[in-house]
Amino acid sequence: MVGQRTPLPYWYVAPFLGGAGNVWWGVLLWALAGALITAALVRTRNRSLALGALVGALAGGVGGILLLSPLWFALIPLLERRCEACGALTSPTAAVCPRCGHDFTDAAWADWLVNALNHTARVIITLEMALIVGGLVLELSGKDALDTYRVLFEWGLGTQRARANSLLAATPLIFTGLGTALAFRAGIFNVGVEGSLYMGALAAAWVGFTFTALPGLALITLAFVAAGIAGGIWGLIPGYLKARLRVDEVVTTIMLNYVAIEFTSYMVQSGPFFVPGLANAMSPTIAEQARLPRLVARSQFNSSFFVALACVVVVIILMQRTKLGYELRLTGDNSLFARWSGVLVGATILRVMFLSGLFGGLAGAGQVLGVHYNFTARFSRGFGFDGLTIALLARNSPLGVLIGALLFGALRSGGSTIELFTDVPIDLVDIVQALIIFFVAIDLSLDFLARRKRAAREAEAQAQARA
Amino acid sequence: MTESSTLLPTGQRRIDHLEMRGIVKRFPGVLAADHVDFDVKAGEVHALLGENGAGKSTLMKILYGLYAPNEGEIYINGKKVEIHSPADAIANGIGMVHQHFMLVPTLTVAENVALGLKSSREPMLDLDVVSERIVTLAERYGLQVDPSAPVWQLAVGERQRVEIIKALYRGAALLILDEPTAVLTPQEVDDLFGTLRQMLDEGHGIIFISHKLHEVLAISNRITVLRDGRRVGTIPAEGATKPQLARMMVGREVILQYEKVDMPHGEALLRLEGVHAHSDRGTEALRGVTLEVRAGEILGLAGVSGNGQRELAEAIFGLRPITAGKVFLDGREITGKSPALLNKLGMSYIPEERMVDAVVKDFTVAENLMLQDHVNPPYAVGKIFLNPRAIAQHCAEMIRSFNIRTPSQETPIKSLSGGNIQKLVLARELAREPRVLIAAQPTRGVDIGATEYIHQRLLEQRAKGTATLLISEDLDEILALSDRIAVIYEGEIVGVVDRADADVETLGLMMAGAKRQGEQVAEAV
Repeated sequence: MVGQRTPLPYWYVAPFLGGAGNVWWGVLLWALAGALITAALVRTRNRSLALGALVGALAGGVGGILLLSPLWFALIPLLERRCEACGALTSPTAAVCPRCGHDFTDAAWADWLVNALNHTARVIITLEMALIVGGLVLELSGKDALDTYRVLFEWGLGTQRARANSLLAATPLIFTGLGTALAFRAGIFNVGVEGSLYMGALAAAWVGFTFTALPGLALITLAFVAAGIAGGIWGLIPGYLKARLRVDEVVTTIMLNYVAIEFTSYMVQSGPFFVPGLANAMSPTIAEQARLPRLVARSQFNSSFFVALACVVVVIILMQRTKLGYELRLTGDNSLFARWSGVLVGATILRVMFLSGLFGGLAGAGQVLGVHYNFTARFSRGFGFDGLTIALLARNSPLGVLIGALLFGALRSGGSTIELFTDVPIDLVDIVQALIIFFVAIDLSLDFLARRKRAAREAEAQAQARA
Repeated sequence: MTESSTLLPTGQRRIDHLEMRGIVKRFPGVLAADHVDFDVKAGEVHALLGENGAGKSTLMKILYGLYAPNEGEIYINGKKVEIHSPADAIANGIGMVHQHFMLVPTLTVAENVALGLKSSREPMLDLDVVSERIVTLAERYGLQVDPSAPVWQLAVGERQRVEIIKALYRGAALLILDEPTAVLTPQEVDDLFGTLRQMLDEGHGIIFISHKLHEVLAISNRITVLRDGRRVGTIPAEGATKPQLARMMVGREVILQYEKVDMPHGEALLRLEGVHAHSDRGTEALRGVTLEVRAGEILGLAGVSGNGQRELAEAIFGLRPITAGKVFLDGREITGKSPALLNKLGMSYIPEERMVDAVVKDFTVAENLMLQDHVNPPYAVGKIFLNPRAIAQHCAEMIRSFNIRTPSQETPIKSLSGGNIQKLVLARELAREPRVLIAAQPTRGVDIGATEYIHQRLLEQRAKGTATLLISEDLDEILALSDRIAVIYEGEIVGVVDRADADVETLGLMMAGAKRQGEQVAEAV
């Protein structure tokens, strides 16, 4: 009876277990992380790898235990609750006592805290793992990992200008992340936000250099609206194919990305928006009053960032407070049941795809009106695909998308200077990003495994119940 | 009997006395077995009785080597044995027939029995030798089975016989039967009991896991009741009574006898005329079902599982295409109408697979409670927005009036217990004040307390004049609640009887396909 305890989902101590698990695995992993970091530190100072590894393993192990023990002794007892019926310790998020089956009726005060802790820790650990493995790659190829990360950090967050540039890089990612997350939440694997971004950008540029007589605010609004509609319609095409003809959206959206990129390139290279005499393939420059104000000296950081922030709020409200949000989540979780409940699944898919594309279009408009002032062929550095990574990392939560986009922005903007100050190629940033996707995927599949195990247990319990 | 070297007809050494002492098994957060003592002697049936999660299966999985106990010892004929795997268990003469049969459907009976055993002429198979021994065993123990028949052709009862033969073939002196009667008709149960008695005479020991009281009383010599992983007591079956056992199982009296208000015969609110529908595999699952359910009546639909019950419920509720026939709701034809429309017309459905078909697992309690009605006031304001305050208020009301035990409205539904999830589904479906209610296995996998509550609610609904179609495989439930009982067999209604005229015997015969003649059939049409 005594000593019965239900482990919390100790994600933050056991990053590789994907849920409740043996705390010692967590200690071991932290020790390993500590060893790697210390070994690298000692090596750069004393040029001795063996000594570094030895000191590092020791320091990492002790550090890991020191780091964990307060968590273990102070925080976790606080977060546990005692079952009134049998006295067993259980997780605060449980609704049923796993030992005696007693149903809890009072809300646990720590619910939100546990959830917040879990989510934050998950993101931090995923990034950490990516940076550690990325550092290993650097070390193996004979570069100085610590110095590279120092440059990355300084030019990502070090100065006011660096921070402004990070926000600038984050802006389109917020839009595309939101668009992707919205589709993902509805169970639609929309990879086509990149295409919508191009269509939106072209529409914004066209408005910007055509309706030059309009006053600034009207022109900017019109450009954003046009971009949103253009992006949305571009999203409707695969949406319609999926809703009506059940065509797999992954294939269509990937292919339509190419169509969008090539179509917009044609428009400025030799099509109607072609401007003779320009070296690059770009559209005419947009009107002066259509340009978004820049907010920090010597940086392109502009007010489209605040449009993006507003969109985060809009999406939060949309998901939690509207019928469409409810129905899109319902469709994403159990589309068959959604249909039975009277949700018009086809219409929901169309609406979601329009909104998803709309945010892609807004991303394009933000770039055109705030950064480039024209439409340049192939200007996007994979904003749509970064948005996909961010949506995965954020598990489709709008607030998570914001945080993820800020992190990625810093990584991107810091990474772009890496080549100037070190002999490390900019591809490092891509490697780190790929590693993040990799670890997110591991996390997701571990989650999947845990879920499957749970499902098997439930099935067994149900079978017992049945007989 | 006293000689420990006595051999069984199978040539295996007899297990005169098997003893499990102080068995403890811990799972994370659960003490599944708490110092349990258990023993079984040759020539006796020792029944293990208990509710879900009481620890019956855990204890037997430990004995069969599927789980390692944290503490405790096992003795066979006074000698301590270590059982680390099913192979160890088999070597010690312990056999187990699992609830879900472990057979390969495409192989023949002989091949299934020979599977995993050494052949007498490796590397070739010796199926003839195996078949011969199967026939000998079958004759000895009254287990009729054709060794050359592919398993997929066999009925459930026959498959169970194959499982028993498999265990005997491997030299089982002691047989563990995990809920053996769950899938059988009453007649098949009798056959099984005949075999078991034969085995007892030959000197086998049998452990019989069940939670069906009357069967346990019919076959056992001793009964051990488990509750919450602890042994409540072991009593001789002779002299034991059902109420006594039920009290031991749940720790209080269970009332499966309900007070029912007399309801006047109302008009037929739900009427089915020759409904045909296909199963998921495309075979004919419903073959002309004709039924009517009147206002203020509960019509129980009894039958062994897989005879078209699920398909019938889905066909009525518009989830499965009806290939022929018609369905009427209060005189209006609703054949093939969508579930959403049927909801509006006053039909509610409590599906069998509640985690898949009735709730959205990742949604919160409140979000699940407003399902299907979320487009209507008070949940929605205008065309776009939801009204969080009204939602919270209404859900709080439902949670209170249906006694749903949940930490909060924001708790994800998947963390609630099965009984509470079912209460939530009931709350949502009944809040709509349905005129016709289809309840499929409403208390499957639900603890006794919640079961009682759900039954009371269904009877309340009956008193309000709702026409209820209660589909259940639990005869006790059907008998306790129904006004009339229809029996379905292979997609056809075999007959409809009044509750007053119904008894387990005749229902059992009908569930096995025996058509009833006379007025009942006439009434069914």
